[in-house]
Amino acid sequence: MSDLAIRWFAPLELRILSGMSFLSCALLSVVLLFDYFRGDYDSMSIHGVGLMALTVMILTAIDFTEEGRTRRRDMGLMASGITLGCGVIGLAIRGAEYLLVDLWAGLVLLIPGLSGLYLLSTPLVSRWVGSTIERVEAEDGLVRNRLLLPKWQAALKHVVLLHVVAVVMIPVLWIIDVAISPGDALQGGAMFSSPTGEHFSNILGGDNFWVWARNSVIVSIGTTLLGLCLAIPAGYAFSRYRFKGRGAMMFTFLLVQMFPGIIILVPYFMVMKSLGLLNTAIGLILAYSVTALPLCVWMLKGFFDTVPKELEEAALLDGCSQFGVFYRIILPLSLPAVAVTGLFSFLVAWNEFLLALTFNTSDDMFTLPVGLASYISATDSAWGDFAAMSLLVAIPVVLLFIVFQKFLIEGLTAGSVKG
Amino acid sequence: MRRGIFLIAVMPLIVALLAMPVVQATAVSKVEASGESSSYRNVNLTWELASPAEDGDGFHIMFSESSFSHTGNATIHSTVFTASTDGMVQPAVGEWYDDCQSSSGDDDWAMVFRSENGSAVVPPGTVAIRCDLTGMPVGAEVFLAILPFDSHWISGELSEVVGATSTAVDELPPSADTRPVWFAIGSIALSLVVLLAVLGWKERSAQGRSAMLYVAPALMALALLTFYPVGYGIVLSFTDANQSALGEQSFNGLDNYVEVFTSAGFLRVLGFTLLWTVVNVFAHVGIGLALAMALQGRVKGKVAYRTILLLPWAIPSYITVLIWRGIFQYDGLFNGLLGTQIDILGLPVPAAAAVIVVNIWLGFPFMMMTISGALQTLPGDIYEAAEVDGVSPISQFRHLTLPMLKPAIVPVALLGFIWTFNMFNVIYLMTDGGPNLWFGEPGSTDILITYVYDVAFRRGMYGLAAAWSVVIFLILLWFSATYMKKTNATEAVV
Amino acid sequence: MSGVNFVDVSKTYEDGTEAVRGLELEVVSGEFLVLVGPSGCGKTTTLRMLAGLEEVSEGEIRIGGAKVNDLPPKARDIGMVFQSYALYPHKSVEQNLTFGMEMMKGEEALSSNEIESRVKEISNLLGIAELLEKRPRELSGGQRQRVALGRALIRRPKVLLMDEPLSNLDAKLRNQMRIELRRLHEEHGTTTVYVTHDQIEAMTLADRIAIMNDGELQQHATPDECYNNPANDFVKDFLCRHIDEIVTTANHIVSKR
Ligand SMILES: Nc1ncnc2c1ncn2[C@@H]1O[C@H](COP(=O)(O)OP(=O)(O)OP(=O)(O)O)[C@@H](O)[C@H]1O
Ligand SMILES: [Mg+2]
Repeated sequence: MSDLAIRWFAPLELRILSGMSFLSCALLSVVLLFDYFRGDYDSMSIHGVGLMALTVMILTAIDFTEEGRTRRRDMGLMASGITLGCGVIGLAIRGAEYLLVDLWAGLVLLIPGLSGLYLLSTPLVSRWVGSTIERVEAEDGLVRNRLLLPKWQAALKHVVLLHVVAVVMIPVLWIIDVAISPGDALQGGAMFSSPTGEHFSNILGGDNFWVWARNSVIVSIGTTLLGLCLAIPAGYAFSRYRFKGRGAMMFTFLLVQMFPGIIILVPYFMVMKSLGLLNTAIGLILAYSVTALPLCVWMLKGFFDTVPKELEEAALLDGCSQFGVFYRIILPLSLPAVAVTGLFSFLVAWNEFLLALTFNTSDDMFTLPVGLASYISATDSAWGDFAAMSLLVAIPVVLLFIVFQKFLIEGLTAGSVKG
Repeated sequence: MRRGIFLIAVMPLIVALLAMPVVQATAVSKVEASGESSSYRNVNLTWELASPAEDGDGFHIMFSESSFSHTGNATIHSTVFTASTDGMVQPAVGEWYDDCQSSSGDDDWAMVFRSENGSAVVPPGTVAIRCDLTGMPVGAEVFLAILPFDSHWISGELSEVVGATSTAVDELPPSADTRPVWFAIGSIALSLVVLLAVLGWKERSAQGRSAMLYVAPALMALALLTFYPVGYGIVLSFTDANQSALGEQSFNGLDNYVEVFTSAGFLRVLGFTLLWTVVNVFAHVGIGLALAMALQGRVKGKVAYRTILLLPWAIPSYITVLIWRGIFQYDGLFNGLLGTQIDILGLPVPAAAAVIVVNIWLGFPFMMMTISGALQTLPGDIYEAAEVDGVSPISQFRHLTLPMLKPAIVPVALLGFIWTFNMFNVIYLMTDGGPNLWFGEPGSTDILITYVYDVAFRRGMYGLAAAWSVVIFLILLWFSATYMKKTNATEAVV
Repeated sequence: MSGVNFVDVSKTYEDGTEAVRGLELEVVSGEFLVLVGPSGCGKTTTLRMLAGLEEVSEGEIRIGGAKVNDLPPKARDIGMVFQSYALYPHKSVEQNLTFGMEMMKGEEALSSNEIESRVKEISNLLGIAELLEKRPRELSGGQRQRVALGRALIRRPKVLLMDEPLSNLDAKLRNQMRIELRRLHEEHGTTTVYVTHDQIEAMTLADRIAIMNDGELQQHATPDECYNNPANDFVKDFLCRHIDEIVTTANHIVSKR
């Protein structure tokens, strides 16, 4: 009975090691891909050996059953050594001219290699491997596991998350760099070295940006207003009234949202062309308000549902008319919700690309997305100006999105998931 | 694919022929291009031959959006062959995307003939050819040259490269009659009003009637701007509607559908679309799930992480896609950071990988957030029960979390599938479907929707594009139906 | 065999709440101990510490003489019935019963024959043999409770923990289940720690009861002993007076008839 602690104790070093090696394996696959791209087959084979060593490390560290402990530990130590060696050789191969990625690739091998050597040779692990561990020691070890393991797991989690953050942030940092660097150079070797405002003054001093921004603002505000005018009454009716065809209609609104835009693109274009609405703001406003309509209706219905019905009934008793109730009670109460829905339609219109590209082909009727895209073409691209304008366009949108993310995501998922 | 096999098969032949040059390709003496007088997205190209063309001669029209000095940087826009034209048809203007005319001297221009497989053919003795080439970008200079070849397909000298800019604006043909459209819209609106009135009248309560009143505007908008275009699109798909004859289309039965299914690139573009969609959706769900799990519970800096990880969703996609294009460009950040020199966007496989990577980058935050939300709703006590039962964390994830998340993941995955299937921006802005190995066929990263865009708005074949759209829609519909049935079925078993 | 000892156990939550203070408690092997006390007195906390779901701040918890403070729940060989039952909602009753055993690995792993026979045995014992194919949401409260009990028992744990397992049931069913629980205990003789805030339940079920208040143990004795010799005013008030009141009320009603 008293060896419960000994039986259940396994040094946390093993858990750390297997987690670390697992992560390194994943990262090393990316390193191998990069090696392949560079045609650097020497590095590739070194890193390949490292990958195999890491795999061995995972397999040995993942579970030490009673019998083979010593053998497994020795294999683990050997694998760590090989991993470490691969890391060093990998760095040496690149010589003096290594880049940031080389350093990163090196660390991916060096860290688990060194940790493996260190962790597998600590006294506690040695005694545990030799099954000469005392009960007190095992009990202390259990406490230590309990206290330290969450910290190590959190650390590994942060390493993973930081890698994802890096992948997310690199394009963002890069575009900022391009926007404030002179000329249209792309490689961004020395980031943020010689800042200049030339691109911003180009954009803000020229006509294009203002014309396109005006178009986008007109279209987006028009869409918001028209969309809300259509969606508010419908959302209200779906929320408050029970009538024939209600279920079918609501389902239709859901279904339409799943319609791919492409099937209506061509006929849309022809209808707009026939009506002479190409190259106008109205054409886009009409199209966008209907695109956003189903989700807006669903979002608003959800919000109206949360307004207690008793309020309305009280107002009715006080002699308010049906419309009066809607106008005086419901609307003011759900103003924040209406604002969020409006913001949603605004963003839809502000960010839409395909319809704007097909409908409005003359450059004084471009919206910002199409205008921005026109800076980049196969032949010559004004990357600096593009980057500057991107920042001008994106920053307000991103801020709005982040501030209202909770509501926007709630509304979006409410509409899309309740199928 | 077939082309590849064919090429490999004929390779030894070509090598053998190369070793003993017998005939010389007819040289081109003069090339001229102009974008001014032509119609929307078109450029005119005229070339004269140093000597009258002989039977078996041919001319590739090479095309690129940037200036080029050798053929590797250009694609073949179209090809004109020299052969006896007996028994071939001579189509009218506007029927082909590369209308060509030939002259055997003295400006006696005649339309080229078409062989059975649609190749343009001119009679021997021709001394000049002019073509009206469609599908050119508007307002940007394009570069064209002629690559002559002889009867053994051995290329001659590349002609001078000339540039031209298509400047013609997209004008409404005066003949377009807007009355039928107005009539259609009017009648739909009217019938809806009648329908709603009848429904409202049949509804006994005043409540029901006012409900109808409230719903009517939204319903009408939906009917007019969604259902009507869809119906119209289906009708269009049975007509020969195209940009040069708007409003004068006539029905041509199933021709468009036949063309869709027999077109050279159909299977290829369908295959890539499926690959694109499946890889993306799996990656989105997988990465979203992993990140949602990682951000579950107490994590230091959670808010900061969430905000940053939300960025790919928050930044408008047309911006981020263009940024990624800059990164993957030959002189871009990717090559800079890695010290490589790969023309990622110019090679079929790397370009495909690049667009997929970019779309994965764009789409995972949505999945992350929805899965995060679903995780919040899972009961916490069953994990303690599992703990007491001695279930390992991995098994807890595999046997508890995953199955319980399934009802939340299934519909958003379907939504993701539909969105990705129709993700126009990424492909259009990153590669525009390119690299284009064969002109007039889908490029190597074209998905169905970008290809439909090409067919409709570059080649101006609205009827054909509508048929493609209907096919796409049917594919999606079929997929959604089976998917729902499958997932429901498995749910009953679990 | 498998008694439980609390040696000077304290629990302070991260927010500073002292839920349990200096608890000294011994549960003899095979005993049915009922932990009773007013709401918020630390009963659940005590039970969760014993189960390994909550860390022990100070002191020692021993099961069968071995210190288990830092052992994971699965190492302690316990079964637990949660107040909310915590059944796996997407699994059938049978899968709920077998899930824990199927996940066992290595030398502990059970053969499928063994699992099957245990399911048969436990479902007959608890009268849920007809429900094996159903999902938890298709069951009544009492049935769910039995499934939860079955899930805890099927692994044949050394110690069985129950946290107010009857509080979600109606009075009649509660009575009936109480009798069944007692019968089960008599049959299996598993060491049992049972948490409730209901004095009658405590009196009728327990071999011994432990009365807690405000994180501290007030009295630990047989039901009779507690009733006849309350250790302090709290016990007198909480247990004796409560029971007397019930008895008086009952007498009152009977005399009126
Ligand atoms: N996770 C927690 N963090 C902080 N304080 C807690 C936590 N859980 C419980 N507490 C506090 O500890 C004290 C004891 O709680 P516990 O749940 O053990 O009470 P209980 O005796 O089971 O009550 P009940 O009969 O209502 O279930 C209470 O004051 C409670 O507020
Ligand atoms: Mg409790």
